[in-house]
Amino acid sequence: MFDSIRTVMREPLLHFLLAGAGLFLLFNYVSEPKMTGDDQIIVTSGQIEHLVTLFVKTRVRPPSDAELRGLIDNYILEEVLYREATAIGLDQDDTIIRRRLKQKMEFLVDDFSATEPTDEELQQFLDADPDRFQIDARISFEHVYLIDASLEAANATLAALQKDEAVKTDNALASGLLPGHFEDASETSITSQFGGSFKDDLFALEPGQWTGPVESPFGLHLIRIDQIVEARVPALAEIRSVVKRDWLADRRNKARQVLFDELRAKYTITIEEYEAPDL
Amino acid sequence: MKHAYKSILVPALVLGLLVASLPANAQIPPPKDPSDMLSGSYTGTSYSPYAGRSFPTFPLWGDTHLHTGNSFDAGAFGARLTPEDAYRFARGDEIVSSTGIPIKLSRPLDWLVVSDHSDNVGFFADLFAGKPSILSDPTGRDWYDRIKAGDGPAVAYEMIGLFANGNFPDSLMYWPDTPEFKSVWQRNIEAAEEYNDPGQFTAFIGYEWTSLVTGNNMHRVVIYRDDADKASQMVPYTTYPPFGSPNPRDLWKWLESYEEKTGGDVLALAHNGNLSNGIMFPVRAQYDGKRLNKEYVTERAKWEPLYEATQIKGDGEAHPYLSPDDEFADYETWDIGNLDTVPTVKTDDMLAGEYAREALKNGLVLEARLGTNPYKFGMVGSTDSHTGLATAQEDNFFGKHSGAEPKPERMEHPFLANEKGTIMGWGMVASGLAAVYAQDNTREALFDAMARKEVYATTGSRMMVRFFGGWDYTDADMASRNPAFAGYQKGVPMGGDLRQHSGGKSPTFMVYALKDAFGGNLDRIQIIKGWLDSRGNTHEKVYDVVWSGDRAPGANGKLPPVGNTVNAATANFTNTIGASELGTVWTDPDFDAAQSAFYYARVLEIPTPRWSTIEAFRFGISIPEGAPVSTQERAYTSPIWYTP
Repeated sequence: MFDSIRTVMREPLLHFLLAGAGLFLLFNYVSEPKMTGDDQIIVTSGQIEHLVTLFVKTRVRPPSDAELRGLIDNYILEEVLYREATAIGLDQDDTIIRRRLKQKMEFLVDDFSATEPTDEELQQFLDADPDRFQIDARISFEHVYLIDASLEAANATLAALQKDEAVKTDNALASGLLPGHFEDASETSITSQFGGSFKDDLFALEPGQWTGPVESPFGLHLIRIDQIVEARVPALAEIRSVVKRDWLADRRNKARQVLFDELRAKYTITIEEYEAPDL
Repeated sequence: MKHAYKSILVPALVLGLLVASLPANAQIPPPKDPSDMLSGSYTGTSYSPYAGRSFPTFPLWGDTHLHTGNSFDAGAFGARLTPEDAYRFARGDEIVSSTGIPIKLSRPLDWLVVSDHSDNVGFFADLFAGKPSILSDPTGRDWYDRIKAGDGPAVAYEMIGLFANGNFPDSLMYWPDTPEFKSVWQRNIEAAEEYNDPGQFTAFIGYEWTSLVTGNNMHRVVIYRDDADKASQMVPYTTYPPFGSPNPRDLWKWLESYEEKTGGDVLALAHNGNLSNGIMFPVRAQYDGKRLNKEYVTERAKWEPLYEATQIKGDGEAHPYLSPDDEFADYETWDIGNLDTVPTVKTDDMLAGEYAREALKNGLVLEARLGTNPYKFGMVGSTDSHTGLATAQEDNFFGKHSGAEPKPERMEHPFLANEKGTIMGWGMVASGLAAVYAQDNTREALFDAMARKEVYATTGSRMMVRFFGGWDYTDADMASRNPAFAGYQKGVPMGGDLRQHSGGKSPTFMVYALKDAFGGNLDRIQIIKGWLDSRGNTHEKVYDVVWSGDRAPGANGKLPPVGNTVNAATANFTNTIGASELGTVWTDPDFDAAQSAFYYARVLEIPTPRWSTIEAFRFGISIPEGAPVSTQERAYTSPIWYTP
């Protein structure tokens, strides 16, 4: 973990990140007193354009004159109340505002940390955690579901089935929701439908022969495996977009962590003693 | 049916031998229609029951309604998971919750809609507005061009230098509007695009339009059939004027203009009528006093094919005041008021405008009066969780919001309170899920199934349920290995309209269910009928149609309870009662061809431990006073309608 942080720390990107975030802090610092001390409100053409753009993006048409006046009035009202509220300190120690600002900092880091990875980087990422990219084992099988059947009855059916395929239809009990044939079903989907222990039993069976009974939460099943395709880790080319997505997510998280550690290091932090009350 | 295979096997084999034994160039006329050989009781169209199958075999499970840290209120409650986290969790990855608890689903979901609130999704765009003023300044122009050219770091250093020396130009107090700074909406779209994996896992683009009129819930989730290229052409509709409006009629106009502009497809679904204080399903006047008219009913029917009938903030299928004869109507009921800080007290006259079953009945009234049924909706369940975690299973429930994630105190925190009562933390419902009968796990196929209402709701269990309506289903159809063939061929699936028929028949319904492999056995299947009589009054009746064991209805016509194996101390139960599957063909004994009606199935599980019982066990605390020890998970199918 420390190694990976150090690697990230060396990257020029990190310095950019720090600069960007630092800049953001400065913006807040520099612009705030000005806002509160100023009794002028200038609605710039840029802001009006922004209001209009947002309106068009929402309604797919430009605002009428009256609507535009409404947009601007609303903006002015918001600005006035914002300034008055900050002047009397309503923005201070507000949980929602604090969390929102925290989220904005995180978003800033995310936006700066997005870059295009090379194939080598992706290959390394894939090799470091192949299990994460593994494609599920898949299975095709026939089964006969015996509801409420005794073990003896199940074994008798099995014997008959091994001799004559046509027995299948005679002995299978109606189960409209469990089809008699599963084609290329993934390990995960079998687990979802039948539970983990049935899945384990199923994948341990030898293909080609009627066998069982295997127990599921629904009852007993006689099974004939047609094919099992083992789980495998695909080549990078096959799953490049997926690896890239996870690589970016990983990078984003590391960048956040590094930045936050760095910012935290600027502070002397004292945590007072606290004794938890008995519950 | 059982003999059908044998009897056709013979001619098929003979034919096969003939073909094999003849010279290759011999002209054998093929049978005119291979299906001619199939017996009348086999309802497949080909000998191979898998060939040419054009209907879905399994439901695909998902959640239409999940908030992440990108939702304003979720963030305020401490949720810090992103849409990316939400999709990863839903597709089965283990992640860490906002409060630091590792969590994984018992099995993946097939699809998910991240539906963050549309209000406040654009803040970065706001923050960095004012581009023209920057570009008109030569320094700003220079920075902007260089950042565009990839020289961002150098520009950043330069800016910091200017700041440090107090030389930063006043005219440049805004950061250039570079494309790298994304709004929340763009972020959510990108996350859905990244995790959408057709065939494996579908990540829908969506949002919640959060209309609250004096605390009365009229929320709708909007779901896109489309990809980013269309969805990102417009920003979501919000509820605050001047950009948005809290009126559903304005949302419908927005949906219309979205489709017109982009050629895309969207739908909306409402939720939590139980917190609307009567305004979710109006019959006479809308909340703003305007009378219901043709436009309202047609628009609502057009845009809102589904309703979220169950979720964490209460179950909304039925209410005991409206359905006094239904002993299962009082299930996880939240009826003290609305969503105001101090909820406005609920009165009985509000209830008719709040619950799904009553709305289905009133829809028949409105159809008679205005020509269209505005409440002809299919039913889904979803969580509406604000944690980024779609958890609806009793033993893995992470709560309504991140302040209510697992911890010993969460059950004793009041959730809503007024003079009518208090809903405590334990009152949260570990519910629900949406099951969709789509052939492919893709945005398009799932959306289309939602649009045709071939969906059902559960309170978190993954029981499989089929429900078909037609005029001549028989027990033999039910007994066949694959009743869905007959289901589709002879009638319509859940969400459909009974086909026209001639003659004085009564409709038949084929319904069957299979328990969740991870859950309790099944207690019973019920069919709920609602209808409109010739005087314009609505009625409802609940029929027990098939049940486990050898119980018989008592003198009052009610089937005795299935029993209860739940051990409160160990938060355990046994599947020694109930059935793993139930199914039947039911004919309406009280059918009147002149009356419009709807029918839906409700499937009940045996009692299993409620999440609060499991939580008490895990933390070694007592079960909160008033909290039920066990719960009977259930499924509500979309209705099938009959129109004379």
